[in-house]
Order: sequence, then C-alpha cells, then structure tokens
Amino acid sequence: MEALPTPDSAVPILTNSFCEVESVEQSGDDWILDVKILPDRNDAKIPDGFARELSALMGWPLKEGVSVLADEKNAGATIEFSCQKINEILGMHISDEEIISLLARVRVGVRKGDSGTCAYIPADRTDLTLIEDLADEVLRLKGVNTVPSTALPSIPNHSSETLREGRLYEAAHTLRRILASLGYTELYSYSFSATGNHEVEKSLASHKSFLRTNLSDALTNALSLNLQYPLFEQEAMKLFEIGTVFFPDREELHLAAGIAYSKPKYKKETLPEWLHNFGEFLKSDETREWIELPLEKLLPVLDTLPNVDPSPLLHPETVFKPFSLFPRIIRDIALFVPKGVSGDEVAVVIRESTGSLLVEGPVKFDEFSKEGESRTSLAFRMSFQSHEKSLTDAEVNEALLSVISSLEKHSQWEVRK
Amino acid sequence: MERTGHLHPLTQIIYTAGRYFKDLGFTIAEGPEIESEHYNFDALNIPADHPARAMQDTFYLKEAAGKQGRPLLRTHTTSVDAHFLEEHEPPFRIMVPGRVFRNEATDATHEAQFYQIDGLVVGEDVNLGNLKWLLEGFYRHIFGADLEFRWRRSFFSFVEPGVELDIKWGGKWLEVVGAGMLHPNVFTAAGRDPKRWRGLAFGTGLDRIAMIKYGINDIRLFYADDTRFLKQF
Repeated sequence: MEALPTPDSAVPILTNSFCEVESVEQSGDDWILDVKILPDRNDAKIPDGFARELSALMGWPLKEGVSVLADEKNAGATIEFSCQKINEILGMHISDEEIISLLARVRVGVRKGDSGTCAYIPADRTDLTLIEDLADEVLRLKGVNTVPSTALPSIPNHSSETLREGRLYEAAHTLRRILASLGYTELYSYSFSATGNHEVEKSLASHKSFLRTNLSDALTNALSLNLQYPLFEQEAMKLFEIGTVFFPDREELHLAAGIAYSKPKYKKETLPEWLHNFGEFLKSDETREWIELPLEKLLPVLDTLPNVDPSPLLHPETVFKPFSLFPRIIRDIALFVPKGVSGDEVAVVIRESTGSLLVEGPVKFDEFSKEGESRTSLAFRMSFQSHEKSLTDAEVNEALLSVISSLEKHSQWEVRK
Repeated sequence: MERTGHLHPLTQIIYTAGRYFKDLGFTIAEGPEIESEHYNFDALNIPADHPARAMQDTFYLKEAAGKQGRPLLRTHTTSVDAHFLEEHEPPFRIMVPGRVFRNEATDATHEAQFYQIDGLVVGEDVNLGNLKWLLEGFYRHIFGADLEFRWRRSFFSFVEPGVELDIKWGGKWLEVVGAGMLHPNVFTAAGRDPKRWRGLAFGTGLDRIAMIKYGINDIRLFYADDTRFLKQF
C-alpha cells in the first residue's frame, strides 16, 4: 500500500479554501489535524465527508464508492445552472469544461436537459441551493488568489444626494478638526453607564447596565483625571467628544467639550466664542467650563467657521509607546549660557545625557537675560519614570548629575544650583 | 507648551478610509446604534435558528419586542446596509463607519464596544474581482503600497461567495476583513431583485486596524479617556 500523503501541502490549501487548521500532530504513521469546520458544512464533519473534501481540494484518490457524482437518481436537489453566471459573479473567464470538472470534484453533476442545464446536488450538501453557492465551490477549488483584481467601473455623475446622516458625518469631522486645531483632544468614552433610559440584558457590570444619556459625565471625569498628567500645573486640560447618547424615544449625536485648570488662579482660556453663544448648554464650576449639545444645533455655526486643513492633525507614522503606571518624578534644571545659544541646542544635550528614565521633556519654560549681560538664563522641566518600579529620588538625582556634567563640558555653560 | 490637540486614532483611521472611498464615488451612510433583530439579523440572512446568530454575543435591551423583533445594540454596521438597500434604488456605493457592540468579557483584545466600517457596492455588473481590487487598494491606502495579501475563502451568512483577507505585517498573516458577494436573500429581504442586482459587501474592524498600524497592545486604551494614550496620536 502507498504511504499516506503528509499534510504539509494540504494545510495551506485547507486554510485558504475550506477550514481553519488549529494544529497538526503526527501520531505513528498517522496525522491528527484539529480543524474548525464552518457551520454551513455539516457534511464534512464526518470522516468520509472530510476525506471527500481533502480529495476534492488536493486531487488525492479515494476508496471506490466514497465519492459518487450526483445525478437524477441520487441528487438531493437541483439548481438551474449557467457557467456564464458563475464567471460573472467571480469576475473570471473559466471555460465551461473546467467549471464542470471542478464541480465534479465535489460530486456536483452537471447535465444538459430539455429545459436547460441543471446541476445535481449531492443529498448531504444541503448548503448548496443557489448558483451563488456553486460559484463559491468553483472559487474554493480554484483558490481566491486566482481571481484577478479588477478596477470598479468609474461612475459618471454619481448621485450626490445629501443624506441627513452623511451631512452629520461631514459636520462631525469638520468640528473635530476645528476643535483639535484649537488644542482640544478627542475622547471616545463608553456608551454604557450606571443610569439611563435603556437597560441592557446581561450587562458586563452594574455600572455599565444602561446606555448613556449624556457625554458630559465622562468628559468632566476625564478633565479632572487627566489634569495630573501635564508637566506644568498651570496648563489647561482641553477635551472633547462627539458621540451618540440615548433618550427614551431617540438617539442623538452630541458634542461635548470642556476646559479645566488644576486651580482657579490659573484660569485663563475659556471655550471658544462660537460655543459660548449657546449659553443655555454651558456649565462651569471653580476650575472647569464645559458644554454639551446636539450636533444638529451646531450645523449653522459650522458654515461660519474657517476650514481647517486636516493634514497636520493626521499622524499615520505614529508608533504607540506604552506608558508606565508607576509614579513619575518631575525635575527642573536652570543654567546660564552665552547669548546666542538656543534652547533647542541645550535641550539636545540634556536629552542625550539623561538616559532611559526620561519620559517627557526637556521643555523650556523660562528664558531671560538681564540688561547689559552677555549671558542668558534658561530653565527646563522634565519628568522621569520607570516601567519596572517607583523611582527613588536618588535614582533621579543620578540621572540629573549626568546631565549637569554634560552641560558643563561646554565652556561658559553654567548650571544654576 | 502644546498648542494643537489630538484627533482620536480611530477618527484618524475613519477619516483616512473616508477619503479613499469618497474618491471612488462612495456615499457615507450611518444608522442607529439601537437596532432591531430584523435589520441586525433577519434581513441579513441570519435567521433565528442560524448558528451565526448564536456565535455573536448580542446585547439585547430589557424592552418589549416591536414589529421588527427585539431591540438590541447592533453587533455590526452591516445593519445599515440592510436599511440603505431597502430605502435606496441601486446602483449605489456606500461606506458605513460606526460603533458596534458585543457582549464579551473585556481583555487586551476584546471590548464590548468597538468600531467597524462596512461597505456595500450594488450594481448590475459588479463581481468578486472588483471586491479584491477595492479592498487591496484600501489596505494599501492605510498600510502602505508594498503590502502583501492572502485571500481565503470564508463563510458569512450575508454573502455568497464569502472571502477573508489577510495582510502580512511584522512577518505574520493577520486577518483584516470579511467580505463577499451580497447574498441573494439579502436583496430579497430588502425588496430588490437578486436576479438583476449584485453586491459587494465587506466589514472590517477599525480597532484592530488601528492596533496593527500603530502597534497598540490593548484595545481598551481606545475607550479609557487617558491623555497619555490619546496625545500620542
């Protein structure tokens, strides 16, 4: 008896044309394949059925009687058949002979009769009921990779029907660009909340049992929570979200935007004027100001605002850097340099000598030179953090000492201590 | 100090996708996030006893069923295809971006809410070769011109034939989209003649695309409202 074929050649073809192969193991001279058969192929869940499938895909011979071409007598069903229709669906030009011989591999018999051409379907292939299903069989046996990629025909005068939904989509993107260009960062918060009008069955957690009725709760939380991250405590946190909220009788697309400071004394900027005009939706407290309103209400205003170029706001080359969950330590460094030495020049030296614990900065936050002096004072802030542990002061001091010694290698650069 | 804010990474992907599809004559369509069983399942050839219906973990609402069945949170943006096909005379081309929901325990690769783009092209002469061209072009637009593809045959109730596309990224094949020729039963359910019209349909998960593209290791970061994440994009 001939040796059984090994599965090496079959696995990629099974993967591409029939089922996912989870694992392949050898057991003596046998092979055990763990496969995931899709729900439409009950016929292949029995050993003979799987063997037939392997044989059809690989051309491996079968024991006599295992694979019998369907005909008038044994067919479970018939389908009105057309090779042209199969080629039209697939976008291919396969000859009639080849299509018929491919279908014969899966036991589908094709016969010309008085009333047209008919495909006879094996009784156990209950998934084959339409010509589209036969196109699918041809596709599997040929391999999807053999279908030529063909450009969609261009459509002249495409109906530029402005759908209500499409209009809101455009408005939402315009608004996002405007707000981002004004320094606001976009959130996508959870649709689920602790209270609301619509309750879900089998919720993931009690505080996620309902659909949200506003964006403001998540926005104001996020404003407060994120205020701990800027390097400078006087810096504003500016956030916005555009998302769906759910009322008893409807869902609505909303905008929420807010600005917050860590202390009342730092309050400087407010929400933009065109949002301020919607006073009835505006809310504020000692340190924060926020607004939430239906996007629909903003449509007339958007037309009056200058268009924002999206390009500077798109960053396709970004590679995400995981951030540490351990506390950070912030340090400042100030130095005198001769007039004409730029902050950038100094920042490069600092960056190169701090080592891997530097996570943010150096950011120049002060620069002055006294009347008549030939030197400038510069001050920088940076933050240190480790991915492995909470840093100690001693570890940060060590990094700073290395910075100081690098800075002072430059003549007339004097670190202020 | 920082002057410019940041668009959410998923906004950036949706916007970039929108430009590709609009250039090819697509209209943007959107639809409700609370859906009915009819548009989420039945109209898409997923009958009540169909295994595919059990495979999806659906959030049903604690509310009485209406004429269109029980209210639920849509499990895919394909539901919008069903509405659009019913309401608009073909031919047309639509792109449907939106939030969808699955009742799954959350971890680094699973979220109860995420984003999809569905696409539907309906015409008298569209074919599977057009679908390959459309999607290969799309993933090149997102990931770069020299992308490698692997097409596999697959099964989704609302298409026949059904296919899946893998892209090679970091030396590995990653599945990015399920697609196919719109099933005749979907045309019939929408009151369109399946003998006259053919459709290309696809649905792709945007969170997954963004995770691959930007090297994001945890899907939950998209919805964590954390500026340490959001300001990187």
